[in-house]
Amino acid sequence: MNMKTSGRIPGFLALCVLLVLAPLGGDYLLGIVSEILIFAIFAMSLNLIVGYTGLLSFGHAAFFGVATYVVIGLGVHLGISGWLGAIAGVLASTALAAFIGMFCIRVKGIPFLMLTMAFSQLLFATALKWRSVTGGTDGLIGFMPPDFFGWNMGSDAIARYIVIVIGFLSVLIFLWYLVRSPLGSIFIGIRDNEQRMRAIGYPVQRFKLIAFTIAGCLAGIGGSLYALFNSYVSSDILHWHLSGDAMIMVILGGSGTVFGPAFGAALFLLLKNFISSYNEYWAFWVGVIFIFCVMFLREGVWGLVMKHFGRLFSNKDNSQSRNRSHSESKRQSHSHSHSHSESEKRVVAGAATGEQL
Amino acid sequence: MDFLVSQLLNSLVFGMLLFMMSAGLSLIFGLMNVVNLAHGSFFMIGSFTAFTLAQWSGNFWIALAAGWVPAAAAAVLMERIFIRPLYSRSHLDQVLLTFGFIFVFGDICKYLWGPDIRNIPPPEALEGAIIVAGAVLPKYRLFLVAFGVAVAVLLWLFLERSRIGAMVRAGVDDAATAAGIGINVPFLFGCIFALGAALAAVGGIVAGPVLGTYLGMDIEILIPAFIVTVVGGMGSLKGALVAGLLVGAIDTFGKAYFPDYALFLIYLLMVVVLLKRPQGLFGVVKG
Amino acid sequence: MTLLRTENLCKSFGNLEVTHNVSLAVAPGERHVIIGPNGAGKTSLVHQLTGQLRPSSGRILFKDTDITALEPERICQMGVGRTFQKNTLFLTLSVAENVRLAVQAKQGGWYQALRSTDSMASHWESTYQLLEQVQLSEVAHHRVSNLSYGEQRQLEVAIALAAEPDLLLLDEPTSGMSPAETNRMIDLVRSLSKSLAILMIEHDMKVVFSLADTITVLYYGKVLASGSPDEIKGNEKVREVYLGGRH
Repeated sequence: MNMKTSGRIPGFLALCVLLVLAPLGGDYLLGIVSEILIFAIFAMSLNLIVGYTGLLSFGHAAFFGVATYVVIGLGVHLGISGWLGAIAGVLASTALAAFIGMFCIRVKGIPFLMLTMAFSQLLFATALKWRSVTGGTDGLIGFMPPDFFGWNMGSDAIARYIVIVIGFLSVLIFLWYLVRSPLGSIFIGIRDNEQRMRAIGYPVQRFKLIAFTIAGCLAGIGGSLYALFNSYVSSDILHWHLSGDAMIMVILGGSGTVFGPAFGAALFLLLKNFISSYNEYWAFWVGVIFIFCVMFLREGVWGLVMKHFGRLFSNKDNSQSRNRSHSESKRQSHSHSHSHSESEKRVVAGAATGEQL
Repeated sequence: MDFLVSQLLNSLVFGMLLFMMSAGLSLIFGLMNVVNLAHGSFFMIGSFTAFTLAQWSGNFWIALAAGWVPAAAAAVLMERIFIRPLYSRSHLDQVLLTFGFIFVFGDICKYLWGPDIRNIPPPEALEGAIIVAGAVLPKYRLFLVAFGVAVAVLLWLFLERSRIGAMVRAGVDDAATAAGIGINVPFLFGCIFALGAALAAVGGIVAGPVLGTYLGMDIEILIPAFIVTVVGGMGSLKGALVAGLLVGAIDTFGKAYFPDYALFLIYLLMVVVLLKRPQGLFGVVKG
Repeated sequence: MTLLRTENLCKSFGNLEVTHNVSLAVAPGERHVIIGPNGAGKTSLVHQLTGQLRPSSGRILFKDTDITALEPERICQMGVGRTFQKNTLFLTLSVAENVRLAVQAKQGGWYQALRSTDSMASHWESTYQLLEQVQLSEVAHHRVSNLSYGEQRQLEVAIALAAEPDLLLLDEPTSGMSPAETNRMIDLVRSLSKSLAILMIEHDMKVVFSLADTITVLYYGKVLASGSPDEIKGNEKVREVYLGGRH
């Protein structure tokens, strides 16, 4: 596409290689990777509002869980195919996010945090009590996953995996483009200085709602995939535990990049699995690392990796652009504005958003 | 009729517990603008500590008198070492920080006390019940309500009559100005954070004989406590009491008469208050 | 026609009255400066004009439309650009992106979700022009937080200009600036298009008298006097209250 993205291709290819190799590790590993990818989608979706729009939400599980419920519920109660159910699930999450968002964006900061949590808990309470539809804590069983090009997703781990990978890569690529787009720049502007955004003419509330809705939609994709992967749902999925876990993934990985939270999801789930095999105190260690990140590593583990090793992935890194472009801009200030080269502008844009991956 | 009376007692009991939790949360937020998501952890730590003390000493009152100390100490350390360096950062960073502590404290309790449910036995003097209007009212629960009232009165006296209390009220009003007139704000913050934790811990101790002492009680009390704090108003002691009793009533009577909707109702209450009156019933509107 | 007009504008916070019956007018292309001692309610007035603060009573008319109750973004879209007394910039973004965001607000393309901002050529063209105008081209790619205070004040102006306003509101543009920086700012304001009306709050008398067509003096929220620089210089009340003493 242009010189900046060409730097990202090696990183992306490396990721693809890893994803392709995963099935070689056997069904168990594949299951773990699948779960990581699903939660990566969930965490990345949360980061759109937390890291890129500056809205701290503790109720994101609502949009993930509702999608899962719609898929499983439609399948178990009405025999609707998982594919149709998944589409319905994503639509439901999107609509719900738009609805809840309308109320939540009326307040800011701590009240916003509490309100998102309250709405999510409302849904949890509903799921808990409305046993006839949701099965309560026991959940809904008997969901039949659909086929994927002839392979049944219920019995074939690789079929499930491929669907999930497609979902993950789609969300990753979409977000990658979104945060570099004009719409994304508006979200970032809101995060950075909401007052300024209004003073230059942006209807900030509208864009907060757009961000919230997109984030809900993406979480719904994760939730639908989770339904197809797990073939089961219970009210646990709407508990704010899940919202909290997503927040941890975002902070661990780093809220400054699109990929960070995905990395955080991997880190969180791997840590949990790894430590659990030794003792039961994984929560303690996750808590410690989380606190460490909030205090000293605000850019997250992936942010740290990018800072030090990012140059390996790119010949024209954002951190270098400042030096190079400084001399270029000296030359440019003597010339007419029309002669600005395309690359000059792109370098500026890169430094502008501070976005690395 | 007797059912009504005993439910009334239960609602007062729950209301008092919520008040003690919410009072601490409210003071901490009112003064420091920090939402302590780990507040439930202090509740739990107090309960577990009291259990151990009660076991060693065989005496409930000793457990009550001293059981809140580790929680308060943990709060002091938490504030000094972790929260204080973050004062210059956004408030949301501080909230995130306290969130991490839920996990840390939770597992520390699991490590020290194991996963089983513990039971703090009520003192002998308060065992049994009295009969009022045909209702069987456990003496311990009556004590709990009286205890809650006593705590409320003591807190009120502290805030209204003592020097530190005056400083707290000044700080809640405007921390920057308070610092400007010479109040040692960091020291004050530490005190209030510890006080809030102590309140929560004491709540956990007296709750022990009624609710039991178990892992997960931190999370279970947290959301209702937040609902109370939001409804009553961040920074308001009166709000904590009124809202505590209100939510206690809705929850108890809701569970008794509309079991399927009770939970839904209190969350709905929180949503409505946040939207219509974000500062709560008695809260201060902060700039 | 008057571009901006306020009619008996009043604003109180409880018992504190910050704006009392302020009626003033700004014509197209006029350079109108508001002066007054600290606490006179100058910034509160600007906040009311731009919709950040709702007046207690009175009206504000811009291009003969009542904007009293409008949101800041609507007022900006109608043709008002403003700078803030305290730098209100996008600190984590580059200088150029700060301006581009403002240009984008004006030029559109808001809902493009899959196109890169790099490719929005017209945005960048206008951005570089504006940076050139405020003499910040050299630091276009620097993070705003790395800029000097004076450079940040200049950036504030560039952002306000990006909206291609008919009325520019400058809230103490030279506050905290060195004499050299102040001169640069004066030159910049002088160089702005004659069709652009400017309403400015200032403390620095040198700036005021070198730029103003009209001066309005605010004192404890009230208009003490309003007129040409000569009229104001000669006004007894103003002398007493403001110009006579040190400020």
